[in-house]
Amino acid sequence: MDEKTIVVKKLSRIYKVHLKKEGVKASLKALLHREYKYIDAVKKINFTINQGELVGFIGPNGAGKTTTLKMLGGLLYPSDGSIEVLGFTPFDRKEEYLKKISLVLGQKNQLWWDLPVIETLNLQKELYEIPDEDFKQSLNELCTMLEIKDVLHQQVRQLSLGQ
Amino acid sequence: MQLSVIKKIRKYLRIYAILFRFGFIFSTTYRVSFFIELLVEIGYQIAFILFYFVIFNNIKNIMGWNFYEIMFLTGLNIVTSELILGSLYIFNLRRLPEKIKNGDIDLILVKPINSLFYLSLGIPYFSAFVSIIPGILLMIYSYNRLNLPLNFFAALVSIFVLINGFILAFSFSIILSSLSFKYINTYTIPLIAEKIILYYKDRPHQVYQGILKLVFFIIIPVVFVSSIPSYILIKNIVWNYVMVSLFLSCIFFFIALKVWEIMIKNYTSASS
Repeated sequence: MDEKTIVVKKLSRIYKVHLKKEGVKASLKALLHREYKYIDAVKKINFTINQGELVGFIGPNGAGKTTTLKMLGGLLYPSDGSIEVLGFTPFDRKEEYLKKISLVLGQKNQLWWDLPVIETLNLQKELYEIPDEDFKQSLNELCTMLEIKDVLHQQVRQLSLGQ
Repeated sequence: MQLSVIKKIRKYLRIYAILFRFGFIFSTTYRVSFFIELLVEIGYQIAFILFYFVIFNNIKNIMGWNFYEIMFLTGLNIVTSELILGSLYIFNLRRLPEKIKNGDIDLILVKPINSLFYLSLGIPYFSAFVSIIPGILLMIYSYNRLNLPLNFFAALVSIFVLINGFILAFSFSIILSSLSFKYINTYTIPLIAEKIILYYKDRPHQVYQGILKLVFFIIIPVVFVSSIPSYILIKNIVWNYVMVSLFLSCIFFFIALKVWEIMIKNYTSASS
C-alpha cells in the first residue's frame, strides 16, 4: 500500500474582506461603519497524495490554489478541516517539518538586498542545518550548472534582473 | 532531551551571530548614513544628560538619588534603550505591521526557525550597539565618582534583574506588537509599546506612587529595566524586587508566547 504523504480533509479557508467603495465620502463613512463580506477561498476540499506521486495543481484564477499551498506550508491557519503532511500538522510549524518542505512564492525575494549573495546562502545553510561538505558540494554543482560563480560575492542590489 | 535543547540553543546562537554580522555589514555599507546615525544617537544622549545638569542646578536630589546616582542610572538607561531599540525595534517590530500587510513574512514563516525569534530579533541595528559605549563610559565614571567599593554579589543580582527587565520589555513589546496580525496596517501599535518602555523606564522608580506604582511595577513593569538594577548596584539589594522581577518576567514571557501563537493565526498573507 502506498504511504500517504499529504492528507487533506474538508479543508476550508474563509477570508473576511472589507468592501471598500470608491471616493472620499465612502472612506469617511467606512471609518464609522464598514461592510464586510466573507469569501470562501477554499471550500471543503479533500485530497490525498501518496509518496512518490508528482501532482500538478491547476485551476482558474481565484480558485484557491495559492491559499491551499500556503495552508500546506503552514503559513495560513485553516478556517476548518484538517491537513496532515508527512505526519505533521503544517500550522504547528515544527522545525522538523519546515526542514522537509520548500515553497516557491512569486514576487518574493529572500536575498538580503545589501549583502553579497553568498551571505544569504550561508544563512540558509545554518537555518536548514546543512553539513559543510553537502553545502559546498551543492553550491559548486549549482554554480557550475547555472554559471553564477562570479555573482556569489556581488551585492544583490547590484545584480541585473536576469541574474 | 537535554542534548536536543543544547543543540537548539547552539543553532539559534549561530544564527544570531550571522544576523548580527549582517547588521554590521549592512550598517557599514553606507558610511555617511552610519556616522549620521551615530551622531544622532550620541546627540540625543548628550541632550538627556544636559537635562539632568539643569535639574541638579536647582535641586540636590531626586527621590533620594543624588547627581552621580542619577548619572549612573542615565548611563544604564542609555545602554538599555540602545539595546532594546537595536535588537528589537528599529528593523524588527517597527516594520512588523508593514511586513504583515505586504505578506513579506511568508518567506520567514516557511523557514525552519521560530517565527517569534526571527521576526522580533532577526535584523539587528548595528549603530545602536555602538551607541551603548557612551552609556557604559558614563556608568563607569559615575560609579567612580560615587566612591563605592566593588560589590560583585550586588553586581550579579543587578545583572539578574536587568535580564528579567529585558525579558519584561521584550514580552510587553511582543504582546502589543502581535496585535498587528489581527489589525492590519497598525503601524502605531509597536511604536506605542516602544515609547511607553523608553519613556517610563528612565527615571527612579520611587517617583511612581499610588496607582502609578501599580502600573509601572506590575502592569507595564518598566522599572525593572533600568532603575531597579541601578538601585541594587549603587544603593542596596531589595530582595522583594528581585523576586517580583523573576515572577513577572516568567508570567509576561508565557503570556507573550501565547498571544503571539494566537495572533499569528490571523495572518492572511497577501496575494502572490
